[in-house]
Amino acid sequence: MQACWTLTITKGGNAMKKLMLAALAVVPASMVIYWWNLDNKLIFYVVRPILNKIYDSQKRDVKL
Amino acid sequence: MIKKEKLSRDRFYDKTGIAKHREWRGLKDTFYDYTQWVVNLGIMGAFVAKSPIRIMRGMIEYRWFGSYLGSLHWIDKCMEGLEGPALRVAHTQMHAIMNTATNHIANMMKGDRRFGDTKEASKQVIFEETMGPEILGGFPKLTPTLMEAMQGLVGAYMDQTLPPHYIDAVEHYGLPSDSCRLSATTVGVAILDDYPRNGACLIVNNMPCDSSTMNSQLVRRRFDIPEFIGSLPMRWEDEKTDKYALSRMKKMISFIEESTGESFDEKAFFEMMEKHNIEVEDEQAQWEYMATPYTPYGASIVNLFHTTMYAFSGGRVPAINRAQKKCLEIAKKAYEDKVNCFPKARHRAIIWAGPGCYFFHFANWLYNCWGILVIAQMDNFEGCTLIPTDSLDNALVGVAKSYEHGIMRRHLTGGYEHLLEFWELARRFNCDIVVMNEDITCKGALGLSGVVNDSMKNYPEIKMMTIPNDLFDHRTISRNDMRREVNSFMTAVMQEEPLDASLLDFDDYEGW
Repeated sequence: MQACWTLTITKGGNAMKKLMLAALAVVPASMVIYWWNLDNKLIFYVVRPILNKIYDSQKRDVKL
Repeated sequence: MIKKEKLSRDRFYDKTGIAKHREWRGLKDTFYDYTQWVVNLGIMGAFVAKSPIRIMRGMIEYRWFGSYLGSLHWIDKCMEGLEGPALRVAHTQMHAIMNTATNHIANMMKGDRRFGDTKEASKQVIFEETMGPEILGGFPKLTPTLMEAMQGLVGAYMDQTLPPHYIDAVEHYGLPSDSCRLSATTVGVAILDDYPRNGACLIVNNMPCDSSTMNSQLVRRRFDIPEFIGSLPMRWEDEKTDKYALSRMKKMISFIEESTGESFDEKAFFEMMEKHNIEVEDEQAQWEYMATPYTPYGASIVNLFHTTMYAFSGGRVPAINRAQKKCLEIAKKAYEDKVNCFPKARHRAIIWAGPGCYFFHFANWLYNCWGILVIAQMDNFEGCTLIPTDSLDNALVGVAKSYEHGIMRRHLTGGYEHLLEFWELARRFNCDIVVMNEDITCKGALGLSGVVNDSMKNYPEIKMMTIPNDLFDHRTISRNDMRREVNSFMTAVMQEEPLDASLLDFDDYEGW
């Protein structure tokens, strides 16, 4: 029983460590995105052209 | 070997104006700017969380909505060249603008009948963008939304390619191409069926603007809800008009009651007007700092912050007054420490008349290229009305005054005395340059250009440069055309050298 608890705590500890490491990695990753302006590049060169195709294909009730 | 000098414009891709990397402002300010970018992402996340499905459907449904994806890029442009207290004030005001605008769009989507009938829709009252939501202070269960601001004006700020889509639709039907680009865009959105289908009723302002009058008949066909035209007096300085203004405000209240089934709550109304007055008083305190050499208020954002307060808040949005208080603290400290918050400034300027909305960050460019610090713009002086709270009649006249002093209504269509207010304001804020926008489709202002030019002789210490624009249509007069006009004035008249020659003449025509 004791061994089982130790195993669970060890497993929980590892998961916690991984979670903390992942959280810590978010900061430098976001800094890279910020500095190299990756957010705007993605939106301007990829997302918006796709959206424009969707807008152009929509059927609207066009009238004066 | 000669090392190639790094120029400011090298940071951007040609034509699109997308930055290769963000601006280096020194370690402290660059890190601060990064943290504010994270805050902006948080505001956007909170926005989507308000109604994820409807907001995602709106993003796919409405072309104007897609333009808001350019908001982070737009924020960067509005922060160009700012540092220290000026950067902090600009970001603080920008967060309040972002909070207000995202809440507004979320409300529009939550009340959009296009995505299925909803109770939210009938709890919203739609206002034309030149009217603030003050009157709705007496209806605590109702929410104001603006008719065309997000599709037109703010959309043009985000993405210069958006309004031409709607303008072309208008001209395709043979409507005149020399009408105001704002009202043309408003009609274009209606023709292309791009307005959300929300609201219990619609309240619009009245202005002696040919284009607006002509086009509003077309817009109303799309709104299948009861409408009320403000019809407030134009000659508001004559106290005799107050009686009529009061009767119109009372009719407006009756109209809202009939359309929504809600009753006017006097206590709630006065509470809201007290908050409105606190916002106005804090803005007037801000003006005192703006007149000093230590102002952290300047460039592009100050003007929009005021417009946001006028059009969206009227005491309603807590984020606005929180930002005002925080900025006043920053300004107070900068003043006490005698910090020159805009160290590149060689001139102080006021910008007047209808701007090129597709070049919203024009003031940042003036500062970075020529050292011209824009202290205030015309919209800073719209509204700004303290509302009496001693009796309901006086308060309603006060709200009418706020509408009468509204965006465009006070200066562009309010008579030549009001159009010429910029001279005294330039003196008050210690400006030596007036940048006069020449919106080529605004008949109201253009008709008075001779009066404006003639008045120059009375203010010999202030120079005036006239910069043409086409309000929402960058294809007629591009951002670079506007830059070239400034360059000619600064070299030929002022005989000055630019601070940064790489910013003089460049192509950003294809960008947002």
